Amino acid sequence: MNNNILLKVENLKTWFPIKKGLLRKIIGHVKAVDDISFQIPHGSTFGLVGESGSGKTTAARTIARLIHATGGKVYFNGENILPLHQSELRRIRKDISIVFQDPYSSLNPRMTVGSIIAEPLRIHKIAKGSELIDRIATLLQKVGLSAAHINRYPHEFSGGQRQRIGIARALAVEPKLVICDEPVSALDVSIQSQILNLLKDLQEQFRLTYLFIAHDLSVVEFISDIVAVMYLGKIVEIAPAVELYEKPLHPYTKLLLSAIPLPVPERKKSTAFVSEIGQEAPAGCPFSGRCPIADGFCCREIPPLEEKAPGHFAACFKT
Amino acid sequence: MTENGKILSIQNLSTFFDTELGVAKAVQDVSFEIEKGKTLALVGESGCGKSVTALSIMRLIPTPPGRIESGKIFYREHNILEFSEKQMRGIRGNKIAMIFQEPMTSLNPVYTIGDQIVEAITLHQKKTYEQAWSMAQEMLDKVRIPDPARRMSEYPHLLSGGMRQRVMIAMAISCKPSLLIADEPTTALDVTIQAQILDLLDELQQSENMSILLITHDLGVVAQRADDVAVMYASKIAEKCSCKELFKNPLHPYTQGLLHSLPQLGTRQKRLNTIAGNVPEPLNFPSGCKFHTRCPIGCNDKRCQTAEPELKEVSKDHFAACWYAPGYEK
Amino acid sequence: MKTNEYKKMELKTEKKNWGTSYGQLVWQQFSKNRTNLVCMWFIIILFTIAVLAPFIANDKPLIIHIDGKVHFPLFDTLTANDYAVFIAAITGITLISLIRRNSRKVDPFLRSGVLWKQVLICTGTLLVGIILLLVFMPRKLDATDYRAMIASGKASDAIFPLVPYGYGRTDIKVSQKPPSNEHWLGTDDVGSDVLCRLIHGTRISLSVGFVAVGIASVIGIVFGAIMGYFGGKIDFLGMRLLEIMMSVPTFFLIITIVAFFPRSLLNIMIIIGITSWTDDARFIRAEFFKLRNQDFVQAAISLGLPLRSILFRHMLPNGIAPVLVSITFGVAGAIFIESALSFLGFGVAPPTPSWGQMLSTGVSTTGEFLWWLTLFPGLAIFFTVTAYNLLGEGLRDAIDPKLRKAV
Repeated sequence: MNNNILLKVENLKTWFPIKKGLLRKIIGHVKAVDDISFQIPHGSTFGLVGESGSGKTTAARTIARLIHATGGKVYFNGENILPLHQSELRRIRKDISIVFQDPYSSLNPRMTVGSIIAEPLRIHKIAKGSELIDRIATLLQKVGLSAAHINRYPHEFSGGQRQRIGIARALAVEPKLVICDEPVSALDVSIQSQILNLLKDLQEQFRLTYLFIAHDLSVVEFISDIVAVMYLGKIVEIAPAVELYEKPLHPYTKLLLSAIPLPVPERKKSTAFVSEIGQEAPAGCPFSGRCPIADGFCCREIPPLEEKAPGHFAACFKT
Repeated sequence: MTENGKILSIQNLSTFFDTELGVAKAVQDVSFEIEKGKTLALVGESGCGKSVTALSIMRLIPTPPGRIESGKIFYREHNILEFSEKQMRGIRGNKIAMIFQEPMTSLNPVYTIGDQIVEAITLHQKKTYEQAWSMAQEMLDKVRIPDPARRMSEYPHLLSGGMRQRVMIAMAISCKPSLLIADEPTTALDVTIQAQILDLLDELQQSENMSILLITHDLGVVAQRADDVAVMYASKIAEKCSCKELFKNPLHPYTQGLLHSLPQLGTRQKRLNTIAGNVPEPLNFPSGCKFHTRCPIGCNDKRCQTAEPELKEVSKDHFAACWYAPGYEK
Repeated sequence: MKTNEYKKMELKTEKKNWGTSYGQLVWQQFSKNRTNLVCMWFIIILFTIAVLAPFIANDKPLIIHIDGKVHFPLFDTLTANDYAVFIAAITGITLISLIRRNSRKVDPFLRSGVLWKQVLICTGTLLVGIILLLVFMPRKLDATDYRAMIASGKASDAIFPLVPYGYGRTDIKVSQKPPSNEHWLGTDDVGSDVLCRLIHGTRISLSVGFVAVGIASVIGIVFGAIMGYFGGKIDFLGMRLLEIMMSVPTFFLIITIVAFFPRSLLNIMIIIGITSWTDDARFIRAEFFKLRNQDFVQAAISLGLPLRSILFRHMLPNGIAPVLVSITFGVAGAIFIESALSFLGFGVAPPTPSWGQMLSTGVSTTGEFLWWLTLFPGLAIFFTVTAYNLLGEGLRDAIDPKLRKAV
């Protein structure tokens, strides 16, 4: 294994059982994350894009051990963290932290900003006493707030400021990997760009590695080095960001890119009319139901994720 | 008052909310017009008053705490602010229809889709149940819902978000309204679905010759779909012009900032341009020009800090509310 | 490090920058309503009466001169129980004033730590004090009839409390007398002063309400929290147990249990407590289910915080609101149950006064209806229960919809 790899995910599966009847018999599974593999090098940003229901958030929370994985392996710094026990997990929790989507529900409304950030610092014995306060003040300044905010409660802040507090909390434990779960999609346009810039600055400053999840392709392109596109629990394409946007291979990626409304005033019709996301995954390629170029073969066989160009993987028979 | 081509004309609308902490001026002195068959986009960030404007047009402001303080709203030639509640019911849904942001909660989960559309139809048109039913089916077909006959007797929870939004649109256009207010119709939807819904609105607009008031925060959507744009900031219109003009020649620093802060596809920017500061809250608006605290020009300018610029025509059909907009002071 | 010094200055000095906590917001909302404040003061006065009952209604004088010497018979006859109540009251007042002081003087950032220390010290002193009292305090009996002594000229210059009768006094000569100058609210079947018994009954009713609901809410919160947080099988089994508890008519269960145990106040408190926790458990469970999936709880888990902190710092304070409301209603309910039990004769044994028991003496053996024995205890129960219920409603309004959205 390459030493430069911080996180390596192999065949990760998260299935949720569907139970029915009085005895709660398991009659099937929702395959929220179905056999995904990827790796993230140190200090880079890995973007995970997909529409709602594609399993990107589930994947992230499984990696952070918030949801129980059904199968597969997650190597963090070369160590498989999925079988770790609660007590051993504490060590890993310090290295992986999360920035959540909703700045309103991600902060405990009963705690001051200071206590929210102080708690992980105390638990992981990073700082205490006056050093603790100094640290919190520094962190708050790093994310663009003032040290005077330490005694305020979350409800006194706007959405963007709350997201900054969330980022400060995530960075408090000095993590190696930060999972950003749609950190800007709940924010206003003018605030979005502030937070994106902040994330980029912090990455440089602390040599952070990001797993960045979003549904907005333009946001992902801005921040990511490598982008993976997920569809119905599977990764359909992985490529370096530039390449993905210039030469998308998978028809789903192409559809996504064409659907983004560009801020250029000209009326255009989305060319491909495709049906909406299906309730159940078809037997073959998950995208075959909506794919403009799918044929009978696609509906029967699941295409493997193959390297079509150097560093550019796609799961499609037709490319 | 209004010319023939104008479906809706709003003049100096102000809507206030009385809260425990004071009067929140959600909409102040807003004026715009929508012509027949055209789309006007109302753009702005959360809390800027764009949704309140829409609700004011529908007279759906919860009173108290809200109240329409002043202004006139002309639908064709009637000032609907003077209408009685009964007259208003004849307008709502019939002449002016509205679709909401959240397709998951705007349909009643205990009635079938068919029932809900039929109810909307029979409310405003003299139709028997059977006629209305077949009309509803037609509507579902029109909004491209596959197998409408079967969908009619299904309950909303069986449909995906995009499908529900289609049902909402079918309901809204079932009485052939001349104005459709779409309040963030695609914000809760995925990009691919968003494109489809916007295409659908486009088609319906052309076939029914309907005007649309499109409320959104997404400048991409605006660029693709709108004829005219009004940019709102802190309860007032900051800039108003045709869509092409706005993207080519934005005059208000807020509009400029918004346009520049968007991450653009395929450009690999190193950093994004930003607008500093936070969106002000309606109870705490800054003095003078409300944008001066975040403005690169206005932050150190005495006049911007003390005097509020009005919306003025700076060039032909281009309105802006900024002391420094070229042509503002002639 | 100039910046650091500056930062500390900023922290220490600028009180302007302190935020308003959720509790303060609730208080602002709560105190806006006049009814809430009236009810609150009513209950505070009731508590004062309960605590100071021996000073208000007692047949021993505060001061008396016997043979030229000054005696304080009232203080000499105070029991360990009385002193325990005093200590509890003092601790309670200290805690409340400390909390108020904290919100003005201590950084919100440090507040919870300071509060924990204060609570620990206070409860520590309270417990040690009460145990010492109960173990070492001798039980003194003073059967001297001071009034007779004054009448016979043996003693003089006595100052009696407001109501100069003891609650245990029996005097057949004046039994079943309607209100008069002597006995403002009349006397009961054994000749005790009704007002005196009412005042001492306050203690019983309030303490039953408090202790019973305290027991119930502790059981309910722990049970509900465990079910809500872990879910799955634990929740399934817990809910079945809860359903069994709920399907038994509580009042009959209490009557049955009371029949097996001696009629003491403590037993009644415990029995009411362990039969009425089901609602609290259900509320907490529902709240915890909701909170479990909130991002801030997920964040707490992902930061590796220990379970103790997740449950009690992050989840409980956010889920406690409906339980607080149910607690106030519960106090009213418990007072009611105790009154009903006493009325039926299953309550505390006489001569310990209890409002319910006083009600039951309203019909004499001759079948005569003695209105003053029914009206006054009835009113006392009515007002107390109403005050608690209104308080609960006020609290619910203050906590619930608008504020929760704002926070």
